[in-house]
Amino acid sequence: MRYYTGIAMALATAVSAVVCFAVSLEVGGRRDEVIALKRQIASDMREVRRLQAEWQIRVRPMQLQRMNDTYFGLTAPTADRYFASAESYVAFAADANSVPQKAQVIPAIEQPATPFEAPRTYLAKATDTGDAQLVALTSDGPAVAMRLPSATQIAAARKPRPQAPGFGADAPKVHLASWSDDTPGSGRIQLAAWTPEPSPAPAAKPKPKPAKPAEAVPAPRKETEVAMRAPEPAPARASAPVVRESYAAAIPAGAAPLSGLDSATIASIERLAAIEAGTQ
Amino acid sequence: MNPAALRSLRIQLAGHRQQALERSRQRLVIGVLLFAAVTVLIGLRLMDLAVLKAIDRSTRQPDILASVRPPRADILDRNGEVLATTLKVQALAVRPQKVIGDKEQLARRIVEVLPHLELEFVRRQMHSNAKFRYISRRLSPDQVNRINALGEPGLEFHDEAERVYPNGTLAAHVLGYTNIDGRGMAGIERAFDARLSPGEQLNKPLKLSIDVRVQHALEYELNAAMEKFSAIGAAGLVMDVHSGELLAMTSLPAFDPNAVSRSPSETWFNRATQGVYEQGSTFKIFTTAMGLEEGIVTLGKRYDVSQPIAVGRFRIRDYRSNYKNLSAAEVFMHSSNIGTALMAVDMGPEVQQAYFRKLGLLEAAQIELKESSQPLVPSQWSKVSSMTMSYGHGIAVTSLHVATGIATVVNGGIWRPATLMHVPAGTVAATGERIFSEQTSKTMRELMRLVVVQGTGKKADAPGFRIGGKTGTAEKPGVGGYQRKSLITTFAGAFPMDDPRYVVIATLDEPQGTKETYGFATAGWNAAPVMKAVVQRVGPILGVEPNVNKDVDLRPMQQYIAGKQT
Repeated sequence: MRYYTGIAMALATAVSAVVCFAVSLEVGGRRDEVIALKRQIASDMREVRRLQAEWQIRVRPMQLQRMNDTYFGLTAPTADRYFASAESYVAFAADANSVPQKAQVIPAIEQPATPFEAPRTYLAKATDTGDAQLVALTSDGPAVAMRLPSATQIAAARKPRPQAPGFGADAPKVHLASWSDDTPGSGRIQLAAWTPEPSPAPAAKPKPKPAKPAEAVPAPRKETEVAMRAPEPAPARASAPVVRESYAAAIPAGAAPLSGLDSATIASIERLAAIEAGTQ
Repeated sequence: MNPAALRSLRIQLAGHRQQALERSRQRLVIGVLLFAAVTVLIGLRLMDLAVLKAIDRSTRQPDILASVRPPRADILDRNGEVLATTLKVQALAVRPQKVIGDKEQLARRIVEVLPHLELEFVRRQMHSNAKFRYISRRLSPDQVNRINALGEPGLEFHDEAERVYPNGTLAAHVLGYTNIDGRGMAGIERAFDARLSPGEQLNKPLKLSIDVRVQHALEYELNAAMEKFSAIGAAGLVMDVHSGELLAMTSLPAFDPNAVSRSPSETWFNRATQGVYEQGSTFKIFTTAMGLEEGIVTLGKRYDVSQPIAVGRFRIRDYRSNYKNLSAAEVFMHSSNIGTALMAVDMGPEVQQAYFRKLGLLEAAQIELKESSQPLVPSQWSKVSSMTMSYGHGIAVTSLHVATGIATVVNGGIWRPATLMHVPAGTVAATGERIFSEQTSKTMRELMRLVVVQGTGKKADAPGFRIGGKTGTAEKPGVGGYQRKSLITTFAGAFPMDDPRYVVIATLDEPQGTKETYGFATAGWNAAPVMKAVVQRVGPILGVEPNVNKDVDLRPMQQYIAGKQT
């Protein structure tokens, strides 16, 4: 009996020793993992700091200014580009000649999803209601920001349905420009403008798809959308729903609605197109 | 042997065996005890190492994550943009005694990797008798890898902290810079050296009142004006009139805090807080305001400005001398020195001195920076000096003094010190001291708006932003008196004038006339357009909506203003 007790105790000791060793080994391993993770975190945090600094260097205002001066020519919005009241916005939106009332998000320079994506400027983001930035091209500047009134303000302004004087024929029209990505490498700029003639019902237009906003550029009238080619000849698209011709030809001398882009802006967009197309 | 003897021998023998057995048993016990003791000792030692020392180690071991903490706190702008940060870089050093390879070859290889080094210098460091020598600081990770690949145990890398100012020269004079040991040598870095150095607040970045976007707009427009008018320098400020926060402050040309020694030493000087200049006509704001407050000046009160005033060796004359008799409002609008001097005569030097003191114009401008100069004030407050000071001559103060003073005039009359620290929205601004009444402040706002609508500052008028202000042109003193050709031009103003929110000061040092300005180099031609350009850019950013249908009601003013006078 005592003989078996001894064996049992020896066995128990051996087993517990093995188990204890395994546990401590496991603990040690885990501890090493934790330390390694901490090291990784520390190195990542350092990297984050470095990248933050690098990002800050890349987006330093001086640099952005240079890029803006070279490619976009955006300027601060002037007083005449703000809606003074909700009424003026409602009148603007109700005007068939002005921006369509349906929500639109039209990036000014839309391009294929490349790892090196250029900054997007949203030239038009008009929503029916709510606070939003409406950025548009007008006759005396490339891009402007218009502050939209809130939903309640619009509703209040709508109730006593104003006579909607709208904006006269000589009022700034909203021009939208977008980068077309349907033919890779073509470097085509689409420009859309709303002509003084009433456009088709806005609701009939395709809703913008968030994934490919460039396609959402509505063409209210065939002849109002023009395409501008990069110096490199772009293959004509068979399914193109619009008449495509050179930009210069699309603008008769003294044409009001499309003269919104000054020559410098056109030049900068063309240059950007050329760069994107890899010809420069 | 007889049996008896044999028996006794046996007993004896048995006793011997007994004894031997006893002894061996004792030895065995000692052996066992020894073994047990050793085992226990080893066990204890194991326990000590595995449990006690381990606990000790785990508590003593420095937190790895703590090593990430920068040795100096970051500086952010009011929106959280990084203005100054610290990165870890590596420095290469050599311990000449420990180098095992060929030193000549090693030196050549190092220069291959670090081409900016002189071979002779590296060789000298290698052969130095010192224990330890730096070879190069600020290595890139790639360079570190390549030097590591040389496999020389005598070469060492040291972690070093490098202060980085991502925006380059932007707001350089506000931020200042640090020396190679990470001590602040100028600007915020110097003023808040203790706060930024390792301590409790190391993890908390220092948030300034500066807005990078506003700062850039101000610097860009001032730079453009400097270039256009061939000025040798410029200074500018954007200040919140209610809290005294500086959203932008610049002195141009600026230095690059990332490489201070490479910038010319004259750029280290902060014109906005260290440069004391005669501010010229912008001082008429203070003179008119104190006259209105004291009841000595009323808007309709008329002053004879037809003749220059001769006081002592001075003759006070007007820039344009074709006015005869002007109301106080017109004196301000047309910036008449004679009229303003007459106001000062009516007030007397004591009143003027008291107001200047209250406005903080007689002591170094209050700001966190250590670079803040004492103004130059006449030792004697005579009648003559009082008259010239009324239009900003004979007293030299900094742009910051003027900004603080104008903020007081337009914000309802309460003086608050300028600050570079972010004042979070909702917190109570520093308690101010009332100097002017609400009514005086309102009248001054109308007068300042009048200057921009109808007076000398028309070129500052940005449509819809309701800018008001005052131009100021002063001649720089030089050898043998004032130099008519070297001017300091200032536009000091605020916007929107119906409810002022920001003071903007733009100063150009020695601008020249151009074709577009018909050769004129006065403030109305060069500093005022800067004001307009800056406000047009920063107004929308700061949430000031331009509105052409809204303006200061200037109708009450019109009764004091004659039509075109000749």
